Amino acid sequence: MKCNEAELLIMEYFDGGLMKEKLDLLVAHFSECEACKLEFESMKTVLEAVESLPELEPGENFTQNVMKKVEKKGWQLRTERYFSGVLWAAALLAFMILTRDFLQDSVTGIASSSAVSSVVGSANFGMESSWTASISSFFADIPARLTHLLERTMYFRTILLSEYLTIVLGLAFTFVVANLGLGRMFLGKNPDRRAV
Amino acid sequence: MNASDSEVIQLCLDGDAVAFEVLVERYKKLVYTTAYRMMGNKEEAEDVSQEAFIRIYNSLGRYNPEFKFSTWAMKITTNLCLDQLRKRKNVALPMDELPEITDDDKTPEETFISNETGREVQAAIDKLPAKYKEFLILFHVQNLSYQEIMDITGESLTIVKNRLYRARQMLKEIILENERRSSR
Repeated sequence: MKCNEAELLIMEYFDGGLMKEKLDLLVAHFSECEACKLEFESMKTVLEAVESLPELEPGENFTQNVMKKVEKKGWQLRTERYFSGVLWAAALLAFMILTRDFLQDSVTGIASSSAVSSVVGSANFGMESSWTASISSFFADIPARLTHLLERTMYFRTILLSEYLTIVLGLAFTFVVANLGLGRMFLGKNPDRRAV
Repeated sequence: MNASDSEVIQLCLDGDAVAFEVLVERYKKLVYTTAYRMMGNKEEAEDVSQEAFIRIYNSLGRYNPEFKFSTWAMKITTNLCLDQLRKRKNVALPMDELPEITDDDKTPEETFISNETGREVQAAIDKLPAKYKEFLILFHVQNLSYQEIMDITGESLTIVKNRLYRARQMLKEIILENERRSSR
């Protein structure tokens, strides 16, 4: 056997063992070649030393320290989740309360204004048949509806203005809390070099 | 607790952070030993191991149960070690940081001897370039199979074998060189 063949066998040996026949060949080569024998022996000593390195234990408080951080993180996640839920609910509730008057008023307001204009319409076009009356009252209603909508919008605007600070703060707060989670997801994401 | 790893992971994912303690207890030696052999000193090994477990916890949702938990834990640990080693290039090395190895079953003399060899071997490992060190540690310290090392490092079998071969040669050279120097 040549030395380069022996080298391959030596490699194989340390990779996980050699079959009996190959091992015999290698041993036979060692009796002829001192260099390869030395190479093998020194490698064996080194790797045995590596493999006999003891298993080590981290410091006493290791688990505790990890758990402290993990629990803190878990608590943060839970509260974030909880608070963003609560905040969304609160925002929805606030929106409903603020707009309740507006919506109600606009419905009743339109109803009443169309009643008024239909009276006006029937007075003006008393001679017309009923279906043309309802069509013309519909068109006659448009200015009334528009003014009413404008009125309501202006009213909503005053609500918005008077509650401006509260609303903006509320939105900002909701936004910040909702984004804490997202920010953590994206910013805190570790750049794993390789994904399993 | 005798629950399987995947059962414990499920508990953690359901919001039971305390269940994670079981995993930490189960794998802390593996993670710490690997980190220590990679970093060569207690402080960094401890920091990296803690960071590894926190990272494991934070990405439990992405754990693929096709792989052994230990494989995944090793991957996260070695990645962190490599990052840390890369950062360290610009920073001064902690000097003369020697491992303290205690073994209760041994007499003081034996402990001394194994301490000495342990230190020498660790010092030699510390001198290996990071990308070779990783393979040597996974194969010869943690006794992992080629397949596991491939899963951990994401490298092909050829690369795993080559790096391992080079790592052994380098380690042997370093140790022989040290012996020559000390016998002179």
